[in-house]
Amino acid sequence: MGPGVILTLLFIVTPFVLSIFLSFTNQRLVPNLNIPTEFIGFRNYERVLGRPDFWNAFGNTGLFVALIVPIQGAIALGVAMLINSKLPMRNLFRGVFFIPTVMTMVVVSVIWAVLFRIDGFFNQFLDLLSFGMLGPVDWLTNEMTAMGSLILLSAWQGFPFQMVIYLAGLQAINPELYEAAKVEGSTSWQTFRHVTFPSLRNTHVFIVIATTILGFKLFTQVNLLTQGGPQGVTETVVQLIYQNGFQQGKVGFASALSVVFFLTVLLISIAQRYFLTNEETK
Amino acid sequence: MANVRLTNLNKNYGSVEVLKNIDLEIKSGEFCVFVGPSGCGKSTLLRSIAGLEDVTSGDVHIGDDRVNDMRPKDRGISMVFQSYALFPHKTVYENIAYGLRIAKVPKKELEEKVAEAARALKLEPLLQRKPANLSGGQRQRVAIGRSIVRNPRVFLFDEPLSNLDAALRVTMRTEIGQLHSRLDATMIYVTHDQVEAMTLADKIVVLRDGIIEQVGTPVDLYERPDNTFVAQFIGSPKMNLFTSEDLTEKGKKCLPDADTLLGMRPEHMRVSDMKNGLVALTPTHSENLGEYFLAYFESATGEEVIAKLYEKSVPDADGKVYLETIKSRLHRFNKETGLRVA
Repeated sequence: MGPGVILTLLFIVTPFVLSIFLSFTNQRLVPNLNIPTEFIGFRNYERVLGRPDFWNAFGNTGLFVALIVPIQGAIALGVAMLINSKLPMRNLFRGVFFIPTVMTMVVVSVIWAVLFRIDGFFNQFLDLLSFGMLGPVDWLTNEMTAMGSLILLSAWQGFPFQMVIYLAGLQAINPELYEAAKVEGSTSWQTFRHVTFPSLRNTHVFIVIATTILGFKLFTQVNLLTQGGPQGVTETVVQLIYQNGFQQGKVGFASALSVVFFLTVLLISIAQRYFLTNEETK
Repeated sequence: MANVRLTNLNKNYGSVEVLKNIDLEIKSGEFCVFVGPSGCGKSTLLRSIAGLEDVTSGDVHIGDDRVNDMRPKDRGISMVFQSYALFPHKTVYENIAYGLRIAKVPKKELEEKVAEAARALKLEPLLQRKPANLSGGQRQRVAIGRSIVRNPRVFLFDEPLSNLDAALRVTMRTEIGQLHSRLDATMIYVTHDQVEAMTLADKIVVLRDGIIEQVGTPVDLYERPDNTFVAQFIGSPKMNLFTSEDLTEKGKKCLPDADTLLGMRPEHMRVSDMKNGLVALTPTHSENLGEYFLAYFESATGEEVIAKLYEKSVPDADGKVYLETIKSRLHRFNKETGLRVA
């Protein structure tokens, strides 16, 4: 066995198998002598699927993914096209635009918490735009704006990763295609629609699947900024796993949550791959 | 159909002069080939006509229009690219129809035009395929189809056959030639392959380092090259050039003075003897190609000389091989300037 196999077994397969095993038990984080760990069959799964807060968190996460994938993808593609054009100092911009992804989410969350404050940037901006008619809004504690605010900050932090992949995709497009389009009389929009966008098909597939998986893992910013509130509108599945597993110590139950969640994400990814790549071979 | 006129055209990339004072007239309906070694500016010249490159100074006229400031689509040109530049996600039909759709040509007219092009190029059974499922030759035909449906005034081809294998290149070359006679259109064709240039062109433009070395018919260029560059660029193997030191007494008589080079094409040389030979050469090796021999020699000044011979050459008693050619096949060039002498 090569070292790769050993490491994979040790750090990926074992924890995963262990979590499947734990999901069938009432294992606690801190062992309680009065409640011995025992096999409890599918009871954790019955509880997971029967709890409204799971379905709420599941819905919120789904909503987040459904919005973050197109928004972040569009920002990434737009910026990638910008820094792929013959701008002066484009190498500098390529570096600058990558900064958010290098920063840890904790730092990003702190910065954006300041921007979202009652006297923060967004409220001052809103005030300026509406001549004092609107706001201030408490972005992170208002049910209407909390999820949107999280999406905005997540897209800002995450887009450079997709941007770099799009940039690579853009650079792989045969420049003669653009010249052919130009000779045929395409406008910029038509060139984008008929050359750039479809030529990035494989890149799109990767971006959609990767962003979906990353999106489902939404946790840090929720935990730091809203803790799932207000009224559970930003509660996510991973946040729920964290609360149950680490704050309440119910490792068995949290494991069952993880397994359900893993299977869901896996199914969605397979479905995306199937539908998106099948389209290509038609 | 239109003529193309280039007047005092210059193109610089920064301080690098890619095209220098190009003056050229391509007549309406003419098949004009730009040929030259890589980096000579032939593609840049074509792209300047297409409008894909801006010129630094000078004028480009297509028909009566000065097109310098026109966008490519308004110039009435169409272009076939080296990589074919087919849109990979569109079917053959959609690729051919692309420009017409952009120009909002009525549906019925569009369908007729695409059908006509497909028929002419034998693409009818392939219309619903994607480029990935086509052979190189078929892709090339689709690219040509896309360019003919728009009825351009001038067709531009940028090394269109260089991605094809040798056999297919010959076939496609013939097809392009036939297309030209059928459409009777003005065509400008860039290649580094002199066989393509010789077989297709009404007019060949030989370029080197951004300068036109000679413009003429293929026969002109072959029979009366203006200078040693053209003499050696057109024809394969290239023309042999001899200084007076390489020549026999008889050979020296063919030269007006010692500052002149004597040129002989390999295919015009034949074995002679000590008395009648024009050059005395030391044989090195020879390649038997069945039909003929490519005989390699070394001249007195140490230059490699190639002759295309139909019999195996046998050295004379002094170990030399004597070659001659008929007078009308001799070329003379000034040693300093390289220019043709009379």
